[in-house]
Amino acid sequence: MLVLLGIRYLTPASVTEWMTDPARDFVTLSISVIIESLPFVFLGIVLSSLVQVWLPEGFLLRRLPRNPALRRFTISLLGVLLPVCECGNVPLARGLIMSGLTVADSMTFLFAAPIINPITIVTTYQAFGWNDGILVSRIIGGLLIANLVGFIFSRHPSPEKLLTTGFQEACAIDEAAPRNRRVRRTFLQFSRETSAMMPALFIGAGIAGFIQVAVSRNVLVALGSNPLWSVLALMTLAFVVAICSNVDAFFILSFGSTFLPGGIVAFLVFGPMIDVKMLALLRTTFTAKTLVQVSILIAMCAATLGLAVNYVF
Amino acid sequence: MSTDADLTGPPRAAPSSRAFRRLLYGSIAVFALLALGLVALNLSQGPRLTSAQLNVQTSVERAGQRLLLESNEVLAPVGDAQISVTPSVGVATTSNQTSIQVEFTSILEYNTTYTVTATGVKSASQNAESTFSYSFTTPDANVAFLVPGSAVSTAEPAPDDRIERASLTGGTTETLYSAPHISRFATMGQKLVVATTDADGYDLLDIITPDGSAAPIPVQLAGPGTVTGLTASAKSNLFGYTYRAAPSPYYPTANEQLYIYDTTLGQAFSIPVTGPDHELLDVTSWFFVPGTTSLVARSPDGSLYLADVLGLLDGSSGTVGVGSADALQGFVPGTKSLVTERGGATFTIDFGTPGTPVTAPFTEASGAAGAGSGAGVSPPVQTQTALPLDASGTVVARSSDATALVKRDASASTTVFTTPDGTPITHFCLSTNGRYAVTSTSAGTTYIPLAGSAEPRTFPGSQPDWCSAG
Repeated sequence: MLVLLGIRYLTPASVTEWMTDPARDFVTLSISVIIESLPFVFLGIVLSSLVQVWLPEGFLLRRLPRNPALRRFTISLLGVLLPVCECGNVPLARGLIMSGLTVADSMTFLFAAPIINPITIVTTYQAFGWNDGILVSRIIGGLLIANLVGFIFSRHPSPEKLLTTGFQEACAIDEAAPRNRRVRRTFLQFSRETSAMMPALFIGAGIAGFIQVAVSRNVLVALGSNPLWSVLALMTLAFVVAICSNVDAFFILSFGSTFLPGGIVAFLVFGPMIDVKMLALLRTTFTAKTLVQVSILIAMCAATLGLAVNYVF
Repeated sequence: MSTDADLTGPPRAAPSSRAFRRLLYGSIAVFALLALGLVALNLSQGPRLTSAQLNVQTSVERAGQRLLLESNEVLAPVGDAQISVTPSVGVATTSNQTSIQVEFTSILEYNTTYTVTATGVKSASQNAESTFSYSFTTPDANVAFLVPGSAVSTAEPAPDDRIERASLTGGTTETLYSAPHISRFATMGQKLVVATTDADGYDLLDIITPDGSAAPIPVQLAGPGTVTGLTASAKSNLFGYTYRAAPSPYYPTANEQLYIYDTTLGQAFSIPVTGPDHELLDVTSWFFVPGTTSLVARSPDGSLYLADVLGLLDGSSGTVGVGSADALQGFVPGTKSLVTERGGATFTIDFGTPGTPVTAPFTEASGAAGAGSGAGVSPPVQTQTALPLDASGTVVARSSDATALVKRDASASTTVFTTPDGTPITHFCLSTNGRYAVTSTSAGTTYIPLAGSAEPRTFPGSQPDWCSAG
């Protein structure tokens, strides 16, 4: 952040004058995604390091229900305690896996936490109140989808195959690390996670910026009044704009009069779970095949939820 | 990193890759089918009415009020042919994006339930049709009047005068306020402005909240004197009164001067309306311009002045001259056109257009017999009492013997009311929406519907508040 501020301070305003409008939009949009996400990514990395280094071994696992479904449900509610959006949850979920949580349980946390974190709930309420069941559909729909994803992937015969080789190696290093010298280990862990996350964040932000420049929002908005297209268009928009779950309700509020409520619910449920920036961040941890499977599953669930809301409200 | 088996204790059979794939892709397939089913249901369902907005209060006050029907989808164009209203009212329909605007071309009836139905409403993106239906009830016509307290015997003091309220569609009357020697009053929404006369014969002016939720607010007059006229504009939260100072050795006679009070400012002094020369303006008659914070006043020399009250209050604008007139008949109901008389002819001055008010001749409807004067028209009327009812020249006037009220339009002269025992009509006015004429006789106040099927209603009181509404 300081580097960005320093660059802005030292750079004359005319430095972007040579750029074309689309190029300037690309830079602006990409940097806005980075600036918006950066605090949460760092917060997530800090929390991840604390969970791994400072919590006694097995502290979290011992306190969770032993029944898998109940345990996943409990984990899906942990987001209430963490005002961190989806990009911050990626390092935290990595930390949870490193500290012994199953891959499926971590997925449940990863996809539920950004939706039921307190800031997200408050901003969604502020934006929509109880109108058209948007808030309730978002919370309940998000929890159900996250638990379903957790359940399905808990049936995977070799969960470690869901993870990238690099991350598996990182887990192995962490398991072998000595349990003393916590401060040094915290810094090392912070450094390692930052190195893994930052390139992914920059790539994800760049892709998000590029797609937003390339795909006209007007095209998406034009589709908003159709029960089917409103859902698909807003899911596409959520995937493209890669906006934080903490503020996405206010973003989509401006489309509220154009789009049907089901489209808005699909946007608010799908976006925090899957978008271009998240995929880039998740790619540090999960294999491409896993991400494709998860994305399709979540997309189908979110679309079904959105269509159901459109039918009922 | 661990597995479910690590955490649940006893090991169980490890799931196979095939079972996982079956579960994953099966789930995706189930959701795909569910989504397809929901798509079909959504496409077979037409647009839905999500909300409706209408200011029912103004719907009985002026024509052109709009009912806004909001849909959950962007709509294909909706036309007049698709809209029906029960009971029947003319409408002009437009649609835009997700809304249908139904504009009522006439004023709606009091205390009536209307149902607006839009049939064949389609989404812009699919063919399924639906019907929107919305019902609303217009407010009752509530009127207030002054009932003087009359002593049973000369030995006893007269009971208080009462301001009573009643509905024109039935029910009993209720007393809003009572006090000794109420000389005049006006209603402002839930409040009353009441002038009373004290023991010395001078007037006091108070703002009263009849439900007692606020203490009376005394309005400071410019000194001992008499409130000679009182008009309230509930829409603008303003009232005005003409005041004549009590004679004194130095000023044995005094003219009527106009003061305005803004009730939104709380307990504040009323401000005098001044002329272009910034001197107090003497007035013979005046009106609020309907729906605005402006007023038009006529001075004793016949000059007409237009003043924006808010501009006078904050000093941002002054009074301007807008011509002259021998008399002011009043505004055509539902418009900002003031009917005036000058040199034996009648004119309208339109204050509804920006800039200088536009003056145009106003031709009173001749009725069945022709000429616009009272003479020779059957039944004969007192032309000087004619009040304009609409822009086409329809007027309402007293009959020559003052025992009847006559409505005269382009095609006919119709007696709309005759006093039952031949008592003369001492005063009459039109409601601001033009739906009723209000007459005062020694027997009481009668509200006469000028259209529709409602019956006239008479109350034993005087000074109907509809005649002091601006």
